[in-house]
Amino acid sequence: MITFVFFLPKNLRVKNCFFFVENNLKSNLNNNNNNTLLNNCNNPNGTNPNKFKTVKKKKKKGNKKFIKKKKKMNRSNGDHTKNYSFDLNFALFSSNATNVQTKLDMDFRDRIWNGKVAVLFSLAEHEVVSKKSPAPVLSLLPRMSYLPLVTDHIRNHFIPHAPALQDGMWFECETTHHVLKWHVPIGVLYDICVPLHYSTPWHIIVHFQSYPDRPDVGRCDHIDVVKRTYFNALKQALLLGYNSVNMLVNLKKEDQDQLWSSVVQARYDLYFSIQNLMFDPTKEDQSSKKLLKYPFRIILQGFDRDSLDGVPIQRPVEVPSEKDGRYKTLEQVLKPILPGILEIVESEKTVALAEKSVFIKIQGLNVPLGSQMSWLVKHMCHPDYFLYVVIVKISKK
Amino acid sequence: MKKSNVLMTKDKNHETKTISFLSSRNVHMCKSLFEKKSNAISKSLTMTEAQEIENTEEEIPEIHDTEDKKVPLVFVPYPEKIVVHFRPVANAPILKQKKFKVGSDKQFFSLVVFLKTQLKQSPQEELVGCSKSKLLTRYILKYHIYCNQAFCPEMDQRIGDLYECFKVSTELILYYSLTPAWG
Repeated sequence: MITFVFFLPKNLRVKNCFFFVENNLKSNLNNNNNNTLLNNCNNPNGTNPNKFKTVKKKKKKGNKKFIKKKKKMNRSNGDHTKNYSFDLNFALFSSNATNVQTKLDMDFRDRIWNGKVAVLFSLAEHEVVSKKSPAPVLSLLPRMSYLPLVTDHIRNHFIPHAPALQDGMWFECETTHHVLKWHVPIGVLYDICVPLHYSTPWHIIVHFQSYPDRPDVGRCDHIDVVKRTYFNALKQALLLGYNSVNMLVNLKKEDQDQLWSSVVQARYDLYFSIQNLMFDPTKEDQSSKKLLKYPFRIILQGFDRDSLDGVPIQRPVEVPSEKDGRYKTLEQVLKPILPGILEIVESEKTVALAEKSVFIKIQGLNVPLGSQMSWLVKHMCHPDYFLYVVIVKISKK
Repeated sequence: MKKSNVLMTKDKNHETKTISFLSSRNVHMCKSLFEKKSNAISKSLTMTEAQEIENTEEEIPEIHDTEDKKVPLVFVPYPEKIVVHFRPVANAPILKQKKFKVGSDKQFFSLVVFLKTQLKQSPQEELVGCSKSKLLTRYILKYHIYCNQAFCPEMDQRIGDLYECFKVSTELILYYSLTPAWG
């Protein structure tokens, strides 16, 4: 059995660690490409020894450069966490200004959208049929994606060890024993199940038998089911936010397919290009221009009541007109909906972060209550246009 | 009761209007008060007396309020029961009764299960040898229920939230069809 051991700095979040890994991989790839290019350009015949030498020298130089680059990259990566938190602070600070911020912060949005989550998958012990239990799989899943879209390789890995009679693949969180709903984005599931311990990967148990008898989970036999639910959620958000679904329905079929494929492949540059088509300012259709209500969902966790936990709360909250420069903060939106919870949060305002019991999270970040709601909706919403606000209460022993 | 009604019809001054606003219980109270009064006072209640009764009535619920003044964790803006209006699309079977009062606290899947029982399509005919709840989960996927002629809600959404977001006047209108209709 092979075990993977990852040494992660304690203060680094998993997400940032991934930035680290990913950037290094990228630089490696770039360097390899350069080398091959160099070889192709300078060594077409491979006969002249002098030329060969120069190539070698160049190669060495390239390597030196690469090492320097790598050092630089490492340095920049070391500062990455700082930059990241600084960006967030800065952005949220600026959102506290009196003017309504309408400009889109592309860099921040891209970072949010490319966020990933480290997950450790293992097969449920009682479902192992083979003599040796299969090795667990560690993989990085995009926060914006859905579980059935990114778990094909996990199915292929575990299926030889599972019983032949199968009842569909489903997932269970190892620590909280929640059945993971496949129609909720992975990032939201992560925030619900792992509120505090970032330094270890999220442990998920894979099941192939006894699919949970819960009508609210639903079956996902085919990828088309995911597609249908995704488009329905998108339409619901558009109808709630803009009071119209015309911008999506009027898209060409190819563009709609491209939108879906961008979600499947987690390619968000493609996604944003389609989004620009949908909200084209030159279009005659006026409905797509103004946000009327905030499309958002609140998910509560740990409030000790089955009727509250895990069920999304979705309420119409109107956007104030931008003429007078008025705007709503997250606090102003949440307070009428969750008066009791906000009271707890306010009572803990002066308490240190580690000792708090209630956390308000969007995309895994502890968002201050004073941040501007329309800014959050623009930058931190999911591909289905809903802003998922996860509120977790941690019971202390 | 008859007496008080007569009383109200007799004088049509603005004073009697205040009495008419009161509930039937108040009318009873008025009556008892009225009987206690001597005949020397005029037979209709005066404005000041009516106000007094109103005030005493208001005080009672205030005491109740202080008893459970706990701030709720989640504020619920919608009523306990809401009206759901089912409409068929294309060749879907028609319901005898179209409007139902449903508990707003329930999740959307309960509505789907309810609709199926109303349409009298017994699931036993289709699948044999499955547990009942498993049957229901399998059965849900075969139906398409749309809200506002636009989208299918997710199964775990609360009916009250859907009502609050997408209501038309005072009812939630749902379209059901056997084939995908919108998207």
